[in-house]
Amino acid sequence: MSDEANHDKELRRFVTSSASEEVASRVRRDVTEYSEVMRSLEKSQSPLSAFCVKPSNLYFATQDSSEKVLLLLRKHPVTQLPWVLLAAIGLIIPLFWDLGSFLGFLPAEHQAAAVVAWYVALIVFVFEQFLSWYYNVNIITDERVIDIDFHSLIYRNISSTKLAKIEDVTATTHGVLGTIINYGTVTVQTAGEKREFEFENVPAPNTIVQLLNELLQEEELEQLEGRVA
Amino acid sequence: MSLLTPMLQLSFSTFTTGPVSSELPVDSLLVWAFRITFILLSLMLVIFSFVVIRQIKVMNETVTTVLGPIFRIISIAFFCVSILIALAAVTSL
Repeated sequence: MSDEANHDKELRRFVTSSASEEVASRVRRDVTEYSEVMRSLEKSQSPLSAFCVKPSNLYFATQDSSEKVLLLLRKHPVTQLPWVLLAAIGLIIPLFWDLGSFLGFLPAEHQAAAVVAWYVALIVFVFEQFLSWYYNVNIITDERVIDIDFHSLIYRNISSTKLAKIEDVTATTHGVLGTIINYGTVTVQTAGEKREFEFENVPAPNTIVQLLNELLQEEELEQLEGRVA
Repeated sequence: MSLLTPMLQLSFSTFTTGPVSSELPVDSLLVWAFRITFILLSLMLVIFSFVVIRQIKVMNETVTTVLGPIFRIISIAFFCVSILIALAAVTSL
């Protein structure tokens, strides 16, 4: 009798676990099953890319365990050219100080100190600008859209909205450079507390809009079929 | 003006390590302004580099990436260099 009871118990456990696995697999499909965009894009390898597809070893503060990062977006590198050029000019400026005897009133060691100060200031400028570019990201997951902003290294703003709350997605490409190199701004209008998300100067804005539309359709389908987790 | 110039030269000669030069007091004033500015800037650099260390920590907690640890090492190295610069500025200039 006890053997029979154990057998029943084991069987029930097996059925229950199989059922829960089946339910779990039905809750959320893999993005490649329904997204043409994600099927066509290759997984990014470079951590410095402005358009990272399914980035590996990337996590964000409020990420759920089941949440998968699909896209990580930064501003297009072309938009960073102004400060790069400024830094390049800054690099050669001390070479002209001797020509114009700009620091002629200072002793030799003070002139050297001035050059060191200049290059340290330049390093600070470049480091700050680079960090600002690297960490100001927009993330698209299979559940949410997240906008992470850092301003001047001391101000942080993280906003996110669930895909179900997105009402409208628009891509705007402006300027000759934007049209040629294919970058622009994606605006996401939501029904949430933050009404509007802007992904400024991101690469391939039309692809992003297409992906978001596919995610929205899947979200609606999930709700219709009762697959919402 | 003729009385003031030797007085200024005398007062500045007490602060300079070398022999009293024949340079104009205006130049000495500029040199001292440069020294004070350099020391202040180097101290500000130390504070800034410390803020950068803290900020990179916060950034890495917000978005964890492959390059995060490298930025952290760079920021710590930068902090050490800024301390060295500040020490050099205070002692040498």
